[in-house]
Amino acid sequence: MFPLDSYLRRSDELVWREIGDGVVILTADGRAIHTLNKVGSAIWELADGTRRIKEIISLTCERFDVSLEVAQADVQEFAEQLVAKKILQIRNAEAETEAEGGGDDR
Amino acid sequence: MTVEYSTGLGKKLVATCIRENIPYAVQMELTSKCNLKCRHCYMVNDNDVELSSEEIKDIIDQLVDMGTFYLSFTGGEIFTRDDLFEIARYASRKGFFLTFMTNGALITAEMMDEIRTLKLIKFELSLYGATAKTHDHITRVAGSFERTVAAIKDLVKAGIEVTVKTSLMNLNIHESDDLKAMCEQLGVRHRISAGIAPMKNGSLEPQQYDLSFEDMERYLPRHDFDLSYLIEIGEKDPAHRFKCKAGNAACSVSPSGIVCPCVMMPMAVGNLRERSFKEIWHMQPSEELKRLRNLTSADLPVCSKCDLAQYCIRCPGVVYLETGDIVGASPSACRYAQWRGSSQVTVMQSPGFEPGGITKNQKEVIKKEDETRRIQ
Ligand code: SF4
Repeated sequence: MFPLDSYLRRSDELVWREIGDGVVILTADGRAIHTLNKVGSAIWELADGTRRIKEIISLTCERFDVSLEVAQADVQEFAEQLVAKKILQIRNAEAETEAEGGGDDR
Repeated sequence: MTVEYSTGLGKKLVATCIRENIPYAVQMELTSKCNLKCRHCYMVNDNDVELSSEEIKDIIDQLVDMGTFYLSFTGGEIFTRDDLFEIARYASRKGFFLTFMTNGALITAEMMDEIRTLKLIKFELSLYGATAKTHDHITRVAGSFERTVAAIKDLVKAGIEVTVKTSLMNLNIHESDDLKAMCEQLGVRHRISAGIAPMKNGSLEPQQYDLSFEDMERYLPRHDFDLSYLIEIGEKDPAHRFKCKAGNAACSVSPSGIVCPCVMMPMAVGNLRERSFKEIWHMQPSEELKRLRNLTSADLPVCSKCDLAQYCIRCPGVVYLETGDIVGASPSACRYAQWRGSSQVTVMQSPGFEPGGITKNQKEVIKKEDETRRIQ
């Protein structure tokens, strides 16, 4: 479980696009392709390096009208899986404050 | 609520892009200007009109929405544009797999820091000979070989992925083995192609440099043209075999903003200075684009009945340039299919056949020759 104060950021080593109802992610080696469903896509788009996990949880809560516990479990699980696959990066609050401009262009 | 993800959907993604007309691979010709004067070049001047940096950035934004993953910058020579890095930085920030297609002769060591900052960038450089004599004869610019090779070395040193591309012609085929060895030494991938396309205005002039049948027989078996691929797909409907992704999942943009199915198929399907990409590609596709997307074998009267179809790599773009239409036979593809057909008979009858398209025996001979060359 990641600290709620930490930031989620999409890796630079991939390209992603919204295709149909979800998000399709191609990794740099061109081999792995990940597709995210509606909920996963929404979390992915929020993970632009400017939001803390707790903000993503709260926005997910509002958008899908689910309890805080459910949103928290889903966001944490999603983050753990995608961080393990190196397509999401986790940065703690201090590191992010030191870094200049954490977000990407989308 | 559950969060799901799945992996390994490559083929499915491509199939979706083809079905839904998502241009996942786009080539942008940034300019028709070039510092070289290659004898076999297919490019024609695009009325001297070039999109501005801002117009190109706007198109890049549209491509993100269109679902484009792979974006190649080509020309002309892209390094003749002063704003190349500005455009590339913008595209890089938007997130694409970027390819720079270049002759490399304008690249300098000082550019490496800038190039290294571009995410997910790879280079494809054209090299036409293993010697300055041959390469410079083809490019008609003295010193171009030296500069291109220096650029390759600089890029490799900077850790950039490089593919060297060679069009085999009657002017350089005698150096094809040396080029292959040279690329190995430089530590880059070497991709060769055989078959010279006409110019975009339909002029067949460049094809005077295409290989003769004797050249094909003499040199081509030494290279890995994968005939097993031809045999496998040769069994399918020619309309499918001869349809590429151009017009569905791929397209090109000319220096002046004209959208075409491919750089090799200059069939204008819309002008980005007049309409959005979405309008041109999805909302109001031209009649020609619709026809290309809906081709069936019934539309290919000659090729659908051709005995050599299984040996043929028929590029719809080259057919278009050679004949002015997309459904006919391609005279240049016919010649190569004849060669493949005749060599395939030998290959198929040999017990040493393997997917590389040449027999084990042939491979042994080539290996021995290569070793001898290295020792010398
Ligand atoms: S060999 Fe010629 S006629 Fe036969 S399929 Fe190829 S292009 Fe068509």
